[in-house]
Amino acid sequence: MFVAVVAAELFAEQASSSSGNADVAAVTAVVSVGIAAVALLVSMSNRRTARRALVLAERQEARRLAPFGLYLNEARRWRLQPGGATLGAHVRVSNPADRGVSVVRAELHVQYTSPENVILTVKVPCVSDVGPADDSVPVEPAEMPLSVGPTSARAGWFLFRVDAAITNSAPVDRYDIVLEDVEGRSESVQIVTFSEVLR
Amino acid sequence: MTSVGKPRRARVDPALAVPVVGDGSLAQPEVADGRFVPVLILDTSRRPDVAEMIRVHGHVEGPGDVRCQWATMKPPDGVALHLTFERPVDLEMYVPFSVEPQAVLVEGILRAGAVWIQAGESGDVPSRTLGVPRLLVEVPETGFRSYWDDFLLDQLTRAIARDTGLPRRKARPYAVEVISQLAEIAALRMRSDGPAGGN
Repeated sequence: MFVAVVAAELFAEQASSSSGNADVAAVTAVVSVGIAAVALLVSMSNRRTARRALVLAERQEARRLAPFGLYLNEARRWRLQPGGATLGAHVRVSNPADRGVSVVRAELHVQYTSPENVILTVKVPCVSDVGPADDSVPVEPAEMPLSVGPTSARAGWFLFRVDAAITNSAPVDRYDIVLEDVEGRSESVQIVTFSEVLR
Repeated sequence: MTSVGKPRRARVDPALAVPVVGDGSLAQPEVADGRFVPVLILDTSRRPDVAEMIRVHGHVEGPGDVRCQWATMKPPDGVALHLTFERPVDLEMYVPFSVEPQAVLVEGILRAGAVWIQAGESGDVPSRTLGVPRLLVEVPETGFRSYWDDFLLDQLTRAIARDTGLPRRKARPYAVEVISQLAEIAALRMRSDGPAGGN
């Protein structure tokens, strides 16, 4: 647009310095200014279009990178042996993104306060198989890594063997189940209530 | 996790320090290929979370995760091993070593690529605390070896020159001899046909 204005001015100067018709020079100058004005309007329109395109691209990128979501369906506790229990959480993993997600780690975070007033959070890894000590646990643990396709969801049981000695008989303040994907993003949900399953 | 690169300065909170109040060594065929691995008895009176973490580790299935970083300390008379535990507990600490009395411990850790840590108090020795929870920490090569060799030679040369009144160029060969003996001690390993341990 700036070049069009300068060219119009130069062209108008050249037209005015010649010994030709003054009316032609005036018309030329007006036409040049008009062209410059149109160029300005076009560039303003392009700027608006570019901003809208940027907003759309950012939305698409956010949809592509959207974090996965967790929903806790149910939590159970099987007290199978003295001094220990198997805790299970049935979790739905939803993936709103345009690409798949792979959950590579599942942990149960057990927070407690020791007799020395130390607040500690212990990360208990999930078990991938139900062993002989858990033969009364009637659920199959989710296969890890857990792959969830784009705009899809999967649900499964995550099981954790928790030794009572972990907290040294101190009461547990809080349970959270934390899942982490292959890119290191993690999501968590607190478990407030466990359904007790007696053997 | 290993980290090899240019050294950089960093401020570390002194409250994270856990000093060594006793030491020993332990050799097992399945650990460090039978090498003697230093055992550090740490004063956890100001860090009860460290003692609790060591205790808890024995009740959680599977190995944990830790990041290791060596550092030299200002004033320049010591080194420190900075440990950032991530599993099963998030915890940060560092163990300071004074070069003159504790160089053999650092040399032993570097050669074995591992260290045992346990909570205790002054006067404790591993052979009389066998029932105390103890945690094996793998310390992989992080690029510190070359700095340690030069640092140790410089510090020992200064110490010998200071204690004997010799000029530094004459004290240096003695420092080299001391380092050679330290390396021999640290390189000891058990024979494959029997257990060994020492304090």
